[in-house]
Amino acid sequence: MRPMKGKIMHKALTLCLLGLAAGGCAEPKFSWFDPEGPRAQAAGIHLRGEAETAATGERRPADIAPQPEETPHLAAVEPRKVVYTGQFKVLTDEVGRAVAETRKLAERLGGYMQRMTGSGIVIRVPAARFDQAVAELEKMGSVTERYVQAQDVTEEYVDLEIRLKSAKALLAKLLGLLEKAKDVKQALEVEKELARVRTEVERLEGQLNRLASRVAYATITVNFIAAPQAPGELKVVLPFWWLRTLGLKELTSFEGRPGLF
Amino acid sequence: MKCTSLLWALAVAAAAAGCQPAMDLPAGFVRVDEPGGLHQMRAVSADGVVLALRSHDNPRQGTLEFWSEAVKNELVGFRGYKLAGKEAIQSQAGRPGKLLSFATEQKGTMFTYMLAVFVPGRQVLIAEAGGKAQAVQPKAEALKKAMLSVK
Repeated sequence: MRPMKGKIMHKALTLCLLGLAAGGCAEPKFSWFDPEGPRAQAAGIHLRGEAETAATGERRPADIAPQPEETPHLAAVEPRKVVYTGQFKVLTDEVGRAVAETRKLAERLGGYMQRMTGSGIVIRVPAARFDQAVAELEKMGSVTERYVQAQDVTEEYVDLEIRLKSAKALLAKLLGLLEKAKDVKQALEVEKELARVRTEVERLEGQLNRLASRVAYATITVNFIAAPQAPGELKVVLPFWWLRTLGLKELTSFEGRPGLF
Repeated sequence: MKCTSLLWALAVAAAAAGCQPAMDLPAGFVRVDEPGGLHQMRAVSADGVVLALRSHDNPRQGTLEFWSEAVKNELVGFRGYKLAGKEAIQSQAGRPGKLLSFATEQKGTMFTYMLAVFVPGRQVLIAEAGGKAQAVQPKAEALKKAMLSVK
């Protein structure tokens, strides 16, 4: 009687594991953007008339929005998950003041300062306020270099959500099997699998949280460069920003502390 | 599909790494790179001499003469550095360059700033070294040798 139950238990466990493997690794047989499909339902995707509110980072600034993909009805699926990043080099009269103002700007827009060096700063602002942050940064001096990117991570996001859901479902099934275990050997076998699946769930949750944070908050890197002081005699300033970064001051500046001069 | 993407990414990363300028460090220096900073590499000695390497785009293909003059004019004309020496050099790889030496003074202390310029096509490579004159002077030859090792 007992060996028979053991075999059934073993088969059930094997089926669960195959289920996880199929959910996590195999290519799905349906298109993820099918609004009626199970994948879309699992990810909470549905058709919407207008874009999401900005606080979730799902709105796209008009000037850098990713182009719609090839499938025409994909554009109708909302929300897209987009990671916004910007890098700027700005020539300014007072580098220290510009760095401090950028930090205040991030806080005023509901973001925060992530990293700061002598003349550079990295800020995170809610994605919806990315355009506003860029516009205000451009007022702080003369922008000599600008790089802005919008990276669509919707597919990665939905994949992670589905894998997490599958892993959680497997976890629940394993817990059910554990309750039905008839002897120590069976219980140990299920416990071992439980531990592995729990780790997988935690890993997927971590990945999803990190991705959600990147979507919710745009990352803006700004390097300020001191504009040359007004010369005593008339001199032509060459239009190569990096010439202004030569010298001992930049060379010897470390970890946000000013250099020799 | 994912494997192919990964291989492409690795290939691109390897190619990018291969293009990064580099130079040998003199004895007594430790690397202190700051990701995302101006320099491709920086190193310091215990007594505060800094050695660094950076590269910038040269889309209009300015010549070695153009860039060495532009650098000199910037430092002398706008920063008040004094040109202490200028010589034609050749890197160990056979690339011609210019080595400029500057002196400047701050609150009674003399500082030395050395700068080597190389112009490999659409790039300007700048190797810099500087610190208090009394600390740089004994290392000047070793610093120059490091600058000539730029590749």
